Amino acid sequence: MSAINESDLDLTTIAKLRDWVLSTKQQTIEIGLETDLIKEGALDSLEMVNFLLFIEEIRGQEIPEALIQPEFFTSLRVIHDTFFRP
Amino acid sequence: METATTAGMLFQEDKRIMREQTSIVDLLRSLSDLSVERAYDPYRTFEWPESLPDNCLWMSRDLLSIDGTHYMDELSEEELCRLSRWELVNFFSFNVHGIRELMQQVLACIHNTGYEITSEYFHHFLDEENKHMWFFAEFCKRYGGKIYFTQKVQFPTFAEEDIQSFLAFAKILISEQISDFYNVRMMNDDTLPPLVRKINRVHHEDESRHLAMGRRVVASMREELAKKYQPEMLQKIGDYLRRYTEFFVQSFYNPGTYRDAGFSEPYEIRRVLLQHPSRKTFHARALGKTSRFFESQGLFAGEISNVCN
Repeated sequence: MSAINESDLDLTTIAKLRDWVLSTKQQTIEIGLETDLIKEGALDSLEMVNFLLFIEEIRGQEIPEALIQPEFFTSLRVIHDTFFRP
Repeated sequence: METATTAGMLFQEDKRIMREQTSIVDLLRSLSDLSVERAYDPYRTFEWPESLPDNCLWMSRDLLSIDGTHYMDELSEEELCRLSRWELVNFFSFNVHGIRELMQQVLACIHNTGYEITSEYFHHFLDEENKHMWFFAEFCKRYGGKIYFTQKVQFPTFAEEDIQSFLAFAKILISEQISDFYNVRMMNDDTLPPLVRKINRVHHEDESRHLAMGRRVVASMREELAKKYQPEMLQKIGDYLRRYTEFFVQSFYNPGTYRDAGFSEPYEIRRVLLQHPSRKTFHARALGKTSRFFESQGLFAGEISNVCN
């Protein structure tokens, strides 16, 4: 899957995803488009199911089993490209 | 084939034997002996009717995720029965996935250095868990037409290998203990189809041995960790396990289940239920044994009822 242009980014969706991740944190952290959410500790495996359900809800469609892999959740950009690409 | 009454008497005897073992070596030897004595062939133990009645509950009324909420009053009996069918398939489905994971964990260490005293019993454990996985999966496929797939995305939270091993066994114990609460209720509920009751009973009887082992193994591993790590690390481990417990309970609130049962807003229902005061009361009850055990190990402080993070 090739990365999409900046102009194709759905910024509202990106903001919703970022807000969800931040809402699970007690301390303030910086989350950019490319921040590695797993390596930087912004998401842990216990938060993933709820995050995945949140993604399903805002995209209005279930996430297929084949896409429930860590590599599809590494950054906001990857999540956007994987689950919200028009 | 033994009757439920005979099986119940034997089971009480098993529990007495397990209680009397003071050392972990003696306990594991007794558990291995009991596993041999109580061995059964799962492929011949159950009779699988062509279909199960759809005009009765498949999961006990008080175990339904909407019990104690306004949804319970709003649904017709037919809708409740439909929801109970999908909630049971969901429960059995996440048992299938949980068993798959725990078998992988046990296989990974069964004959490693440090596991010499448990390896013999681990063989029985794996044998029994494989049987459980088969009958849960069989039920889901026959009567639900599917196994709900797992939405877990796995990656390690702790880098230390010994902590990872400890967490693996502690998580097995938590999931088995909570599932056992459901098994005990359903095996005694004569409003459920006989097959559902029997699956819950057979699982509960095997799990009582696994739980006895799990508590000893987890306590022993925790002692080793306490010698090696600072209290802050144990606190961090305890916090993680507490969150895992909350996470496990959330599995009972699967939007896919609500969707299959005909609800139009499955995500919203899940959110409402997880926040509902009645559900918190229920969670405290379902998690009682788990909370008390981990509290006794200095890993939890107080009961868990709020599972909404």
